[in-house]
Amino acid sequence: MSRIRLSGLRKTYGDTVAVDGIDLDVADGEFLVLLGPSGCGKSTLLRMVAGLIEPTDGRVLVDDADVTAVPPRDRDLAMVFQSYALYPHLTVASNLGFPLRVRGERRAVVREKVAAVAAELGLTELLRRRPKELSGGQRQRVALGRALVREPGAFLMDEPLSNLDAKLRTSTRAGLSALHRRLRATVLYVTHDQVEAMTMADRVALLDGGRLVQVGTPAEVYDAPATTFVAGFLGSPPMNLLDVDAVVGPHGVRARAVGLDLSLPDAGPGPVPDAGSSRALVLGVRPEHLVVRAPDAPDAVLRGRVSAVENLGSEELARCVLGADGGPEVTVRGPRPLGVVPGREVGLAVDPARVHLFDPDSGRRLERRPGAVSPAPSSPAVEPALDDRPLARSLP
Amino acid sequence: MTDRLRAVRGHLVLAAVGLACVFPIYWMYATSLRRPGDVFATSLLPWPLSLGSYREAARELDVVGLLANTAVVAVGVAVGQLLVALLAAYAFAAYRFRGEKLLYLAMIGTWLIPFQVTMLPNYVLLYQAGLLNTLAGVILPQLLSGVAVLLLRSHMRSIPGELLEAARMDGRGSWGTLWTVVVPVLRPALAALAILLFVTAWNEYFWPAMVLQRSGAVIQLGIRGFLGTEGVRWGPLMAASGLACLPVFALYLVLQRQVVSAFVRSGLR
Repeated sequence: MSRIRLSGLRKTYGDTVAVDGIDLDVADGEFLVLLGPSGCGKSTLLRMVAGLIEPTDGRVLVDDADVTAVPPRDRDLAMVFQSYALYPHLTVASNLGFPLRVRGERRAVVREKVAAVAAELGLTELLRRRPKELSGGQRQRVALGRALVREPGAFLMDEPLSNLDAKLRTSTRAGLSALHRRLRATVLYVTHDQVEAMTMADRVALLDGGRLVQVGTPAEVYDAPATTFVAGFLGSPPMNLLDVDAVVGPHGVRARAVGLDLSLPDAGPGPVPDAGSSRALVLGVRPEHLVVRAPDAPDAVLRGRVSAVENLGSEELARCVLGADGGPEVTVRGPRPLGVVPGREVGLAVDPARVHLFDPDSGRRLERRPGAVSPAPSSPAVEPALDDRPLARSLP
Repeated sequence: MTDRLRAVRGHLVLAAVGLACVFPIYWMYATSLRRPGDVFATSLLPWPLSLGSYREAARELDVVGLLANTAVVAVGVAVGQLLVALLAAYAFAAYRFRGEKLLYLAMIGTWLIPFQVTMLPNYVLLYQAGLLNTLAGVILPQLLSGVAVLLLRSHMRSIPGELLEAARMDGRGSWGTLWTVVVPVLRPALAALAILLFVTAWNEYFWPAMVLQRSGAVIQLGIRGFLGTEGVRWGPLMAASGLACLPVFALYLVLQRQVVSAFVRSGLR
C-alpha cells in the first residue's frame, strides 16, 4: 500500500480559490477522511490526488514519487465515485474486469480476479446483470469491486455512501471499515457526513473554504476543536457557542453573559478574578456536557427558560433561552427523561474542564494555561500545525 | 368515463393521422402492382395483380446498379457524417479549448446556410479537383452535418462526467474512452441519427443531379426518366419508387428497437 503526500496543493478557477494550499500526509494503511460542508473543496482536492484535475500549484506525491504530472492511469490509485459511475452497457462481470482488460491482463487472469472480488463482495450471483438491474447497494458494491480488483496502492472514495438509504449506509459503513482493516489499505475518503468520519476514520481532516482547519483523530477533533468552525460542524447538535465577556486573571477566567456566570479556575492556588478589565471571548460547551439543575441550585451557572424539548428516543434535547427573553439559546442533551418542561425556568451546570474558549475574531481555540488566556502558538500560514499542538490543558 | 372517451378520441385522431401517412405509400405500391392498362383505376385493391410495371422499369433502368450506386452514396454520406460528428461532438463535449465556441458556432452555422449558397462554390471546387461525375464528388462536400454535431454534442453532455472520469481512472485514454464507453452508451442515439442521415442522403436528388451530369447514376435520378415530355409513365415510376424505398424500410427494421428507445428516452429526459 502507498503513502500519499500533498504539498502546497492549490486550485483556483479564475478568482475563485477552490483549494488553498493544502499540506497533508496520508500514511501507509491509514483511513483518512476529508470532512467538510459542500463546496469546501474536498472533492476538488480528491480529484487532484486522482489526477483528474490539474492543480494550479503544489505537488502530489505517492510513495515519495512526484506524480503531479502523471496521468491518472499511472498513479496506481483507484477511485470510487459518488454516482458509482458503472458502465451502463456492460455486465457486472465486465464492469469489474474493465480496468484489468484495459491494462491488457490475460483473459484467464481477469476472470479469476473478477470471480475472487465478486465472491468477496457477494456479487457472484449478479455477474451477468447490468447496472440498471441492480439495487443501490449492489451498485455500490460493484463500484467498490471495480476499485478492489486492480489491487491499487490506495483508494480514493468520493462520498460513496451518500446515495444509500440510512440503514444500508450503516451496514456498508461497517463493511468498509472491516475491509480496510483486513486489506490494511490506504484510503482517502471524502464525505460531508460527520458520522462516517467519526466512525471510520483513523484521522479526520476538516476543510473549510478550501483550507485545512484541523487534522486529528476523531476523538481529538471532537474533544478539542481547533476553531469555532470545527466546534460548530462536528456533533449533532453541534457545540453551543456563546459570546461572553471574560475577565482574565492569573488564576483563571471569569466569564459572564446574559444568564451565564462561570468561573474557570486554573491550576495552582489563588482566586478566580471577580472583576477587572474584560475582553470578549467565545465560550463553547457541548450539549451533552450541560447538566439540568434546579433554577436556584448553587452550581447552576447558566440560568434560563426551556423553549422546546425534542424526544430522540433514547435521549432528549432541550432548547433553553438564557436570561430574559431574547437571550442566547443553548441546547442540552441527555438521557430521556431530562426532567424539563417547556416554559419553565431551568438551571444548567457544567464541568469547567468541559468548557472551550475561542478567540472571537480569528475563531481559533484558546488554550487555558496558568495565568493567561492566550492564542495557542501556531503560524497562521500553516493551519495543519494546529494538529501538532499539545492538547493537554491544565485543569484542577 | 371521460377518461375512456378521451382515450378513444385520441386513438381515432392517431389512426386518422397514421392512415394519412401510410396511404400514399400504399397507393404507390398499389399502382405499381396494377396491370399497365389499369394504372389510372381507382379501386382500392389492385386486382388483378401484375408485375408488368416492374418489368418495364427493369427494362429501361439498371435498377440493381442504380440501387448499388445510391447505397454507396447514402452509406458513404451517412457513415462519414456520423464519424465526423462523433469526433467533433466528443471534442466539444469533453474538452475545453481555445476557440471552442467559435468553432462550434461555425459548425452549427453550416446547417443554417442554405444549400443554394454553397452549391456553386462546391461545384467549382469539384470541377477543379476533377471529381465531377464521380460518386466521391457527391459524398465529399456533404461529410459535415451541423445538425448531427449539435445532436451528438447534447447527447454526450448528458453522459455523467463521473463515467468519463471512471474510464480515465481505469486506464482508458480519450480515444479508448470514446469507443469503449461513449459510443456504447450513445448507441440508441447513434442509431436514430444514422437512420436520419441515411434517409436524407438516400433521398437526395438535386446535388447528385448536379454532380452526376449523366442521368441515371443514382436511383432518384433514374426515376426522373419516367417523367417525360410526352407524359408521366406512372406504372414504372411507381415501381421504381417502390424499389427505392425498400432499403430504407430494411434499415429501419434492423435499427427499429434502438430508434424507438432513443426517442422514448429523449422524451423522458
